[in-house]
Amino acid sequence: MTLLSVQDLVKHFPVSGSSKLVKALNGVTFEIERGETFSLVGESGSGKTTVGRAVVGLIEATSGAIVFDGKPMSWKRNIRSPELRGRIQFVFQEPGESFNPREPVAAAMIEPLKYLGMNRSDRDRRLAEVLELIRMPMATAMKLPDDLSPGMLQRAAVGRAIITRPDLVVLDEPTSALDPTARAEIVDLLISVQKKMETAYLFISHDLSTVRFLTDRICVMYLGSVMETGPAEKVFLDPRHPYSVGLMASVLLPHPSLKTPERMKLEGEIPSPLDLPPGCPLASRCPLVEPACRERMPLPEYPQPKHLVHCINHHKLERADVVSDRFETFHTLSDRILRQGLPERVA
Amino acid sequence: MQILRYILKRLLFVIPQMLGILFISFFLIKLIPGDPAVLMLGPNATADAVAKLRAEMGLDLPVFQQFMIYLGNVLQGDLGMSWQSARPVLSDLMTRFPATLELVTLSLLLAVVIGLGLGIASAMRPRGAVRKAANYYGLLSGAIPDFWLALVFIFVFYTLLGWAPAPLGRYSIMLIPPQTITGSVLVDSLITGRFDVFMSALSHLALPVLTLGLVNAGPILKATQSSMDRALGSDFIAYARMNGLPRRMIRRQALRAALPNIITIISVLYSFTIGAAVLVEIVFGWGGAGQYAVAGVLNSDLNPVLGFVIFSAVLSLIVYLIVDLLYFALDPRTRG
Amino acid sequence: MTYQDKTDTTEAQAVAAPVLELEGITVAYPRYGESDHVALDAVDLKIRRGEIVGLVGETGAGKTLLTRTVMGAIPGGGEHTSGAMRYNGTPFTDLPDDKSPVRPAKDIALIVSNPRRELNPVLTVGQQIVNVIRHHLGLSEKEARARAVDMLRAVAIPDPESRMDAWPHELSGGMAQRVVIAIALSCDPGLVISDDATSALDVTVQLQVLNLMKEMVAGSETAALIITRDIAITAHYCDRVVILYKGEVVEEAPRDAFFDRPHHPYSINLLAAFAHSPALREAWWDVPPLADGTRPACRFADRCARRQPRCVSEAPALRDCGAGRRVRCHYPVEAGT
Ligand SMILES: Nc1ncnc2c1ncn2[C@@H]1O[C@H](COP(=O)(O)OP(=O)(O)O)[C@@H](O)[C@H]1O
Ligand code: SF4
Ligand code: SF4
Ligand SMILES: [Mg+2]
Repeated sequence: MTLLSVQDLVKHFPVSGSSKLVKALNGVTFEIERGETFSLVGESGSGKTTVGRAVVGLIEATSGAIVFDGKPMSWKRNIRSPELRGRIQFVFQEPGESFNPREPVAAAMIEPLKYLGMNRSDRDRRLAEVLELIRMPMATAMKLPDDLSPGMLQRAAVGRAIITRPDLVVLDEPTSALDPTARAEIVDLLISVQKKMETAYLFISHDLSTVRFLTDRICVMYLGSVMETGPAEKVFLDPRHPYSVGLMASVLLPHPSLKTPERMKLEGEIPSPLDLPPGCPLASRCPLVEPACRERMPLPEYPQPKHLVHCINHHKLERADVVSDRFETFHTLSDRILRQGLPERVA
Repeated sequence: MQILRYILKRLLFVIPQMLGILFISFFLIKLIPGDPAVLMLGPNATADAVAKLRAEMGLDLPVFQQFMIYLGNVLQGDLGMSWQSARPVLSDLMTRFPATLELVTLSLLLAVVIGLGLGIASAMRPRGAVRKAANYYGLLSGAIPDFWLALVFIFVFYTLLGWAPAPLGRYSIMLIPPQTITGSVLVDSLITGRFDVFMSALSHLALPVLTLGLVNAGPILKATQSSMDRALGSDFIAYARMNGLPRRMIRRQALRAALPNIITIISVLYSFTIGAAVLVEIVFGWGGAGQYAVAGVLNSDLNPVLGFVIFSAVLSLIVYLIVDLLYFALDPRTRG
Repeated sequence: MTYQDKTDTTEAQAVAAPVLELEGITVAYPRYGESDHVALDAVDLKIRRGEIVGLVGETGAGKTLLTRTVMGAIPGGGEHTSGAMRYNGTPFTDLPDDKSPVRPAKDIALIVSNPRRELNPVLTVGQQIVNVIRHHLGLSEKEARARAVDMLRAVAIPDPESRMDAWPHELSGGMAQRVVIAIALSCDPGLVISDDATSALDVTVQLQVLNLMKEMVAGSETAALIITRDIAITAHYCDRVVILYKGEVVEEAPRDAFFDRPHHPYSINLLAAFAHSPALREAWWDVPPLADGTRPACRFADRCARRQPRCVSEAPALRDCGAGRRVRCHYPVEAGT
């Protein structure tokens, strides 16, 4: 069942002192099902955060619709209106951001419950439940934000987000500021929370190796447009957009045998979203570009069911022979390495 | 282009700012007890005579109306009369304000030389002897009142040693005054070739400038030191060091980064000292604008005080505009 | 198994003094009313000519501090209490000192991680490169400018001539990163140190920048020390891997050997962060806590899944285990365990 549907979302920001527009989003469409993890990926500047902020009502879209639980969101029906309060929550990139430096983190964690008008004892009970879920001792939760490591703080931020038992949590780069170890811990936490609470996630990240095993469906964005959307295994195994291929090829995996493929290397950097030329946004960097690409935005095509791609050359990227992606290969490899010397008490 | 628009915007803001300053000063001065009519007529005047004078001076009108009348006059360039000097305030200030400006400008130049020099030297060697000396100096200059220092200097250099001339005005009273062109005695005497006046003026300036210079060097020193410290601790200076750039280049880059702060302090000191130099002016019989305004306050002579407020406000606004333009020139991020 | 993509170092190079040799580097921060906080503890490191060494550790392990110690700019009152540093056999202590025999930028150059904060905001890109080139190579303004433009072109900055006059705030993160690489390589240093230089970049740009660094280093026989918290980078760009934990080297090994069989439990923990079997990961990460108030001799003991009673009482030494490998652990994961 569809929980959130984003329809043709456009957001243009005016540039101060000029008549130009920053075209942050140019018609973004996707749907999130109940209880699933939907990931938005793309380089910084591709518009991921803008989508997230529009969904949680921090900015107003220029045009397009956001439909939550069957009814459109509007200035009257936003995440703060009584009907929706607590049903959509968010976690930001900087772990410190959601916490008052002079208050124990537990105080910030129960704050969303106050807006729901929950009484003191219910709040405390809920806090205890959540702390158990995020595996944080009460003593830790009573500390000030400065006394917690970034990983622990982000754990608390996740706790704060789920304390209202939301239907949807928007996570904007929640692991980017963290060390790889802390990052993996947050990912494990998110997975286990979802198993218990059936929360849907809108997971925004540029870190594809995290996304690969966390997500059900993935949406690749570039310069404010959707390039490709589909089930994660399909898109990772058989990406059909040159941008997706290039993005995935740029990910370094921690084993010398898993070299980055030479296919579709993306040269240069994402251009400024001011006054975009018509046509495919990737045209300036795409190895497969041809004159037709610059004429109009490529229409959506479905190389496989539920796998959407906006590229006129998507068939050139088809690779029927491939059975596993690099991430999958690393999965096997890392399992072997981790089994070596596994402590006896577990093995 | 952007800068022009900026200046225009600034100038537009000047109007309400000036109005506000005038309005507040007017009412504050009205709050000071004392009736100018009584003071003017002397202790033996009859109540009738006082009332008549009050009516003539418009003092019986509601305060707000008085303000509006005053404002109307100011807009026509009439700052009113001073009853003490019995001359128009405008012409009084035209001779007295330059005297103060000359004194304050030279003092701050000296303060900048001392403060900047010591500040930079002490920041570059945080463990050196200069740093220690500079710290003591900073403490001392904050603790010593300027007029006291002035009296000490007079005692030592005039009374004991006889090196300095008597603390009575801007140049020897034996000399015929030079023609007034800019109002600055130094400049005017040079222009008119009056080297006798020039030398005399220099010797009269020495002690008051030394006093105000030494006292004001303290805050400049501290501001320079702390903003240089911050600049030297910044990432880009650390990077410059780790690129092996020589000391003098590091010093220049740090100073460049510290400059906006230092300029702010200097500009604040400058506007402030115009009024705050009054005690030193009195000690040296300087006859400056501050002295004139204080006499006005003490004698319920309203117009000189307001005139002084207007002059210093205009000066401050000019100073701050210059500072803003300097910021603009110094920081590439503010340019389009 | 080998994934060698670099020619072996020649015999002559192996015999010559290492480009950089650190011996027992210890840096401590004095603490009020307590014993000093030892942030780097007897760190040894050798980098040979043309070699790329990766130094991996989590935030706070002492990676930046090690860089700053070498560069002679220890932050925040830390003291370099013991140890020796040599560049091509020449001992040095204070690189930024004008009289130091080994000079920053000219001999040892640094690529910083946050270039938009570390470039001087009020000098143009060109001025900053020219300053470094002129000072170290004694070129004229005109020659230095020409070289600066060449360097910008070499790091693939489009339209280098006009970029010379750009201000740092006008650059994207990737462009700024290229500029500091250009500065670092502008005087042909014998060693470049990159401190987390690519962590703030997008993966696409990170890859471009790393490839660029690798090419430029390979083309000039420069050695490199790549410092990072991302162990994946070292798998592809380094010849040797050194793992730092709480100021100590805990493992050192040639790259391929390391990734096939990491010895130290902490190294495995680092790799587990990328693995995708939560169960296996948990087996390594979920460690029963130490008894309250225990101060274990092994710094890693509180997080170590292979911990034994001996680890709490006796500090492990960094021990040679052949084939160019060293490990600091009583119970390392070696063949057959
Ligand atoms: N300015 C400072 N004051 C006190 N301790 C510091 C300072 N800088 C670094 N340290 C200490 O040095 C250690 C290593 O820090 P750092 O080199 O920044 O780690 P990394 O670069 O690996 O993230 C930490 O234990 C930290 O406490
Ligand atoms: S439409 Fe053309 S330019 Fe766009 S991604 Fe496809 S091939 Fe490249
Ligand atoms: S010495 Fe013991 S506690 Fe330390 S890393 Fe080795 S096994 Fe773990
Ligand atoms: Mg660091």
